[in-house]
Amino acid sequence: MNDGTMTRKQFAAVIFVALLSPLMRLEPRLSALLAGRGAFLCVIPAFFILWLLAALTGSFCRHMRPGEGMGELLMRWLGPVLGRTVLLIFAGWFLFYAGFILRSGAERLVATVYPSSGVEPFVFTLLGMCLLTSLGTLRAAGRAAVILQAILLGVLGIVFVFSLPNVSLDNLLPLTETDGLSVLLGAWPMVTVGGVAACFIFLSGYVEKTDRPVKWAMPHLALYLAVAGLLCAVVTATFGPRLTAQLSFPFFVMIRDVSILGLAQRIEAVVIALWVFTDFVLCLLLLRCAYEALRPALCLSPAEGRPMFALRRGRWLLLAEGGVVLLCSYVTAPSANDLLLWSDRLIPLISNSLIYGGLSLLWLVTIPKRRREKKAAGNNK
Amino acid sequence: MKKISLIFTLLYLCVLLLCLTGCSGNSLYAGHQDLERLLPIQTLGIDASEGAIALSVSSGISEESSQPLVLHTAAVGIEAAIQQLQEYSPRDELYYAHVQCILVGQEAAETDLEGILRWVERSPDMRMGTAMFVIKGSAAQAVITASDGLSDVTEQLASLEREARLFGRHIYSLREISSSLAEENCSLCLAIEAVPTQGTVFSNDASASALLPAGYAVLQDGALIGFLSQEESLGADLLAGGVSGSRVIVDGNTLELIDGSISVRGQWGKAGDLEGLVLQGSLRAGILEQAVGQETDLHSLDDALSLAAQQWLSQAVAQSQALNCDFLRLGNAADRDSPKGFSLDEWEDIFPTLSVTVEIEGEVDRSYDLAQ
Repeated sequence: MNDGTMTRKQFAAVIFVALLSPLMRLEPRLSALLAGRGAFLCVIPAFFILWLLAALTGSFCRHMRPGEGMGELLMRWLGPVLGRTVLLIFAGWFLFYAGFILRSGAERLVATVYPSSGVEPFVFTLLGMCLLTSLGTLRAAGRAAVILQAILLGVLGIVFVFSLPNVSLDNLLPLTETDGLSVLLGAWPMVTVGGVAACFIFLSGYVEKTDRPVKWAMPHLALYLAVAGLLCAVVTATFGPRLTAQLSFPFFVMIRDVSILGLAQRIEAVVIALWVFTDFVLCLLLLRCAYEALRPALCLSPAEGRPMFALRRGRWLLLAEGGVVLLCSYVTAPSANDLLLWSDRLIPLISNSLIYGGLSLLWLVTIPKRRREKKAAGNNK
Repeated sequence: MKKISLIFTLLYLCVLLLCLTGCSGNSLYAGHQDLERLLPIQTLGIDASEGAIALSVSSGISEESSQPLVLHTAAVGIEAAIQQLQEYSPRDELYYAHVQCILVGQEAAETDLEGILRWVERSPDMRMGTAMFVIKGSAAQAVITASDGLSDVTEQLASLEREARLFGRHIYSLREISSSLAEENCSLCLAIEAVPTQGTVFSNDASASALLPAGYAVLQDGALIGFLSQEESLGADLLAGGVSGSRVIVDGNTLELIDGSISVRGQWGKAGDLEGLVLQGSLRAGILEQAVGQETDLHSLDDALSLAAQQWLSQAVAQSQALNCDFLRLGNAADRDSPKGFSLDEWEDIFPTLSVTVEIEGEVDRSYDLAQ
């Protein structure tokens, strides 16, 4: 394990923290819209779909050679032309999505706490922090994520507990068998958010190896779904499913009413500010994923283990990516209304197509290659 | 190289930190407010005023100031009115993050309640848990005249809230109202009225008034459509299971309601159609004071309580049907009790003429000092 390699615990923390950003953007609003009172039950169908996704990504990971990431694996399996094309598509998506995350995170801050500010200061500051960190090692980001995960879980726990006086069980029950179909539909946003974790397979080369990736993923998947389920349950029980679906950021509206034993009120600014870190971690990971997709495509050497401002040997690519991300953050959704449309429809559509559709297709296309490799390995033995 | 990297990193972080500070008037953070200069507003009064919104605010009585700051203005919208009030404010920045009560005037509730609720949802300052009251008449009048030097509108509303909770009356928050309007398209809200205090409360201000409960306001489609009298409100509370602590006078005797529960049962036709509803339950009360100059027969008092409770609930149901506004949520109850095939889609059509039977059994607890 080199200096830049993340431990499995750090990798799980990084993914968890990164997922909280899109989770709060889509949930519990969309699940409440699709599943009504049963929004909190959407975690059940979501678990099975995400388990399948974990099995799929685990299958890719098992075929990676030491020091190899998803980029190198795809180049090896698909060849230089098709491999480069696929990697460029993924890299383009990662950069576009990072731009969208910057923009939506800034809009969230402006809408919830700083109504008279513009989005530019937040976009520039966050992008600057992401670029600076991406020039360092992923292990540093992993260490920070472990601390952030503990803080964010603690904050969520406090918010959920002190929101209980405002909840009404009438908003969650009764549920009948006719709600089953809507619960299945309502799992879609949870699956979309959870699917983002599969993007980080491109960072596999910087994470310590495990023989059983699916088994490793299960407790972390359970944690993510527990948070998503609790989020849906508490917010929907507070506002009712229809009002939850109407509010842009129901969780942050709910926090305005949280009172901690009458000693502290109006803690929403602190909580919303903490959520900037989730945008930061997600944006950082997407920048590095894009870099790890472009690096084999452009035949560049790994970025880790060099001084922060040494930009030779392809590390300039990270700065170039920053420029593209900034451009994307301005191109995406010129108004807040457009942002909602992008957030709810366009982005999940592309994300799901690439992650669920794209990875499945790659898995199918590479079956003959995998068989040949297996046969060759058998012959060598 | 490492040194240069470190210096650049530190410089870069310093620039970022400077961008995030709120310490100067030129800060990028435009929402910055000095804590010492904030004047928390505790009560908002909102009225409709000839196509505009009239906003009245009261800062409440604090340790620093025995006289609340009361301001009033009219503008095209609430935000514009807030801006105007800030300009008129003789001191400090008006701060709305700790508003405790919102009083909505009758006219504003009839015409623009939906707009008020949307504003609260969007405003980063306002809280959805804030208590809302609909006042019969003008909210501005209440905010201004309730400040008699002894108390102000915030104190009176806080006192009213405490009493309401003590006597089993529900105070609806903006969250509950918004949620109920979104789910059921109707909601209740505590109604109040300003009553002159002359002859009851002796103070220097002869024009002072007190804010007293006046039943419930009925809201539908984001607007006020009517009121429930005190007795009808009691019927609504009885169905919701929240009468504990209420005091009522039955046959001249003062009773305190202890608890009550009502179940809703549907009467279903052979084709699965709803023919009627039966509201059946019990109500328990204790005697606080006997009627003056009368001997109390506890058995007949049971019957009198039964009759009174049936009247309260019947009146509430009748008002609900007259307004075609199911604030008692009888539709949901029928749906839960329904056989397969019943749909709530046509509820609005069948509800106004639906036969509803009310059967309540009253029981007055035997007190130790009364003869059996």
